[in-house]
Amino acid sequence: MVKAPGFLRAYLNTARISDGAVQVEGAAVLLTEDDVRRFVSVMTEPRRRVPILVPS
Amino acid sequence: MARERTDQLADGVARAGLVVRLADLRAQDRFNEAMGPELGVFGGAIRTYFAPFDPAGERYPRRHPPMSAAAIRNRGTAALDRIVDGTIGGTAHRQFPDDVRRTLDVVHRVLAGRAEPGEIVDAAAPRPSKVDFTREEMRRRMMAMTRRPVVPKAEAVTPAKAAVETTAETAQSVADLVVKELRGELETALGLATSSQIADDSGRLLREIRVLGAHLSGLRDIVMERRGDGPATGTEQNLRDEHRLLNDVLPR
Repeated sequence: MVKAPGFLRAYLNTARISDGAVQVEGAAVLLTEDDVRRFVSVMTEPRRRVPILVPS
Repeated sequence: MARERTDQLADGVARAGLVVRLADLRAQDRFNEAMGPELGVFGGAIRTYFAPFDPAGERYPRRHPPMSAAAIRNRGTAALDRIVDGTIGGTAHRQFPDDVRRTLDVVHRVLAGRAEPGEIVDAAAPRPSKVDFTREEMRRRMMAMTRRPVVPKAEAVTPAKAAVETTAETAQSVADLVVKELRGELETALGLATSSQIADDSGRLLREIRVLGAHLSGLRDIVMERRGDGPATGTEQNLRDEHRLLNDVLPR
């Protein structure tokens, strides 16, 4: 299984790291029904660079 | 199980991607509603949404690849690896900086032994764009229009002669410049000067015109008087002579 270097997750958890537009979290982001609308605007943000992975 | 997969993904793509966990089915339904019919994710699949992303205007939904639940089930960790690889690969693609892009072709040719390393230097020099060229051209033309004053140089070999020549040249260039650039203005100024002079002497001019007018009317009176005497051949000849004389005397 591919794994990012161990320190990265801790680093991402210590501060608000972004790709220039979207905040990149160390762990998965929990999305409730009420968060969806806000999150869709994050997905469509034109300056976003990181891909977003959504398991169902 | 789903949570485990999500955490694995988050570990794999840390910093290179953002992993979302939909809290429940209602959140998933709401999410799919926002994505539209072609871009949703359901049934245990995992979908990667690359940037830029616009669910309303996306013409190629497959650009945001889903991995089906069946594939994940069958291939297990390998399937997740593939998703992470795709994510990192999708993030890694960036446009090279300008200087790298300019030299890339030459570097390839050098590596292939079809070009000399020195050619990279030429390729690395920024090429002037069309706009820059026209600007440069404009500047050059404007500079050409401006004549530089010829300053006599102190360290000239024959200072006196050089000074004379340069002075003559300067005078010539100034004269040229004056003739070329100031012609219109000079003509206007001269016109104004003459008209003002006329205004100063207008009294005298008016008097002369009146005198001339008086002379002319006197001559006309004489001519009319003679015509009234009857058309004698001798008189007519005299009249013709007078007319010719008048024509000769009067300024045209």
